[in-house]
Amino acid sequence: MKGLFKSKPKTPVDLVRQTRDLLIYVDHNPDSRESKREDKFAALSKLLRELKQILYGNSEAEPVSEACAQLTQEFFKENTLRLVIVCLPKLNLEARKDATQIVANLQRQQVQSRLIACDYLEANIDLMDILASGYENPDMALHYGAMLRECIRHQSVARYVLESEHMKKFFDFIQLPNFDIAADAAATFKELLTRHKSTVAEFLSKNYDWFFAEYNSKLLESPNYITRRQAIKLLGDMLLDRSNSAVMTRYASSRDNLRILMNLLRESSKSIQIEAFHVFKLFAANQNKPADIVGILVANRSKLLRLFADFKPDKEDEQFEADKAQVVREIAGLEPRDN
Amino acid sequence: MAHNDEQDRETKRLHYPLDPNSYQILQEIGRGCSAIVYKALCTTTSTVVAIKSIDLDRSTTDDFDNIRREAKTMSLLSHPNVLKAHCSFTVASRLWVVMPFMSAGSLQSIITSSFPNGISENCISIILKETLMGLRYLHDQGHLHRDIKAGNILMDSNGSIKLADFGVSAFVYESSSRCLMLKEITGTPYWMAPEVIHSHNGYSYKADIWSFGITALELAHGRPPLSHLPFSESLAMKITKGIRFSHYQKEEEKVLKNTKLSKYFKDMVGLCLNQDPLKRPTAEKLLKHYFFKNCKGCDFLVKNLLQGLPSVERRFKETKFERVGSMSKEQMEDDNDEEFLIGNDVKKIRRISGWNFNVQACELDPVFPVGDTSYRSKSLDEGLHMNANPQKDVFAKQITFGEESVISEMRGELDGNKVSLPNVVTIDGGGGEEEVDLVGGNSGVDREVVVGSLMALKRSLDDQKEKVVYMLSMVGAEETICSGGEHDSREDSLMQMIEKLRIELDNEKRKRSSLEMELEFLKLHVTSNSDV
Repeated sequence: MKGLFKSKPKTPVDLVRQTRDLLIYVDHNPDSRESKREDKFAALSKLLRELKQILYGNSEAEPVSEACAQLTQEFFKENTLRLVIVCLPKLNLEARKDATQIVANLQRQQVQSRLIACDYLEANIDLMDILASGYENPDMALHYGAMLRECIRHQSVARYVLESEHMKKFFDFIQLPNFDIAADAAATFKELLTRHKSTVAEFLSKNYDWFFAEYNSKLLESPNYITRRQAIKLLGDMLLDRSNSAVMTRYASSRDNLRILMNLLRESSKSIQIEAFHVFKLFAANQNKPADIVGILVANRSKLLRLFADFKPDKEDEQFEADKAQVVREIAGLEPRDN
Repeated sequence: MAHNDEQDRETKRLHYPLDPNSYQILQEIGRGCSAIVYKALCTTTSTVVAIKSIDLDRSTTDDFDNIRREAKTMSLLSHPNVLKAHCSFTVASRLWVVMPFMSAGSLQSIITSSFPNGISENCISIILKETLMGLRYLHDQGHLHRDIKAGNILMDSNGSIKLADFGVSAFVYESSSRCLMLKEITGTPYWMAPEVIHSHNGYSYKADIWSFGITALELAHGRPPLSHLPFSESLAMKITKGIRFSHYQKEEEKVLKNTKLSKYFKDMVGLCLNQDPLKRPTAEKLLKHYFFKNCKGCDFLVKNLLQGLPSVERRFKETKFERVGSMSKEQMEDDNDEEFLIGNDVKKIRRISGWNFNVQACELDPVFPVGDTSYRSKSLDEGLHMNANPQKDVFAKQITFGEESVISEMRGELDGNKVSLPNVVTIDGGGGEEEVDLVGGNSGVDREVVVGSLMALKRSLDDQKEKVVYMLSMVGAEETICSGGEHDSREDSLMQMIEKLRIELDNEKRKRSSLEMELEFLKLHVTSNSDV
């Protein structure tokens, strides 16, 4: 019967408003009648799907930027994002996925060349606490994790998460037994530590002691192959970044760090060995090597040179060969010094 | 149904243990270059599962990201026609993905073992409809499958059909640009859409529709179109040639006589194989095609397809020998994806600049590059000139693509320079050795460019060589059975022995040096402690 009086197509603003109303209902009426609730949830799922299609287009049509802008503006005018995040666990799988994609997309939408999502998040930064804690809940981890990763595209938001207590928990999240969740947490961790150069440099120098103590003991010395492999790769990415040169110098002057790296060089996994080399070379190339570093390198000279003699990646790599040649020269030319 | 499935998922996710000791491996049922698929018993839930065990140490950082994406994709999907993962966890340097066990195996293995000339149209329509529903769901979710083929369509004992293997599936929403285009090259060549092979412009959902059309032909004919084309003369091909070549010629004759296909089928396939991606229907639209009307239910498949079919395990054993050939193919493509059951068709890869779908014969007519221009140009139309010169084989797509990317990078650097790069590009016009001549004959070429591309070529040849050696060793193990030359095989096995011993020696050396290093550490500790 309704089909006869087909309502005219709803505007993006209408859709956002209706979504918001339903979310408020879902949030405030946990105990309403079963059938009524189901109707509301069904309507909500449908609305989320429509919002997603406006933002992403579908297999037939590309998104329209004007519609996207209207949607974004209305979305952040009120507290819709908080409602979505809070109500997410109550939605079914498909609606959760749609909501996650909507939130992800909104972070990139510009309204009058401003990222208004960023303004909203700065005013509602506690939302990051909900998202980051998501990794503790297997059902929500992948949804909240994906949202979090999009939110930390904004530098101020990333700074908040870096400096929060959540940062310590990531060392455990990335070793969760569920591979999909652990891998998602690792992707977020990497994003936090590589995306915004200046913020990362500041964070690492301020938090050097606890951060690298945890990094070494929990990640680089983890019994888990994946953890070690991801950690050594990320360490290389961090230390070799120009903006982190102060941190790099400090890291490459520590005898404990060298010991860990040399252990990684001896791994049976070629991938880990190669990545470890990229960090190890920093110790060798350091022109102001502390005496104890020199001592270790001299004591292990013959073994290191032997190791490097037939050490090469599977794919030919000129840069690697050049680095290796330099490291070999450095080590071969070392003179033991007295303390 | 869908609702139940979802509930199922929620509960199952909790129940499948994340611990290898809770699974009892029963049998190997599939193998590829970096993964093995096992049939296993989950002892805590008493259910039979399939476990895909992926060697992570052999995967690069990029693969790693793909694997992460695959794991995530599989755990968030929920559709009766899409294979999901119960759970995944790491075991030392391997990733175990625990999935439902599809007891009838892949359609490709069913065809190979029992229907070499294809299956009946009634069955095809059911299989394709179910597959298409899974594909529509994936596309709705923003996923491209990117490797649709009979080998990735799985069947259970009750006739239910699931689309599997997201090893190469891409998530459109995650790619950085907003437009739904991807530039990477993945998939299996025979099933690839022209715009994927010529991936200058990127491709989208419609590339899956193309592969779907090819899959339809694969089911109808028993193999994908063009797989009967002559082998190239490369070494790798010679190895496999002895095993399968004659079979193919015979099969080809039979297939050509097959004119039983209905006009609906031909029309449906014709829509999928439109040269212009924009003109291909969406999965949603295709489902409404007449070919899928009056489709029978899955129990029809049980009666007509599964009766008397050997078990998955047996089929795997029977194809064990052919597997070697199949693996070589996978290796050459550098394809990390595993089929559930790798069948025995040895795949030959050749450069094709376009495809013309011949509705009458219901076959694809290949279009070969006429010269440099058709290849270089983005326009597929230029590829329409027929030139079926069988000598124009290229033995491995990998080389070709490797070249392409090298060249295109260089083109950027050499902006403004009027070097005729196309001549370098065309090196794939005829097998490895000739490439050098081609380049040499061109006097106007910048030396650096040539050296650069030659270096790239050398690298990829080295790569190929390594793989061939590997294949040889694989074949070598079973060579005594097939090859008459007893002397040769003895020599081979001796060579292998030597190689093995050499590796062992290397390992021992490494062990020794690491022990020495450890000793040195301990010494150091002792001395530094005594200093204090």
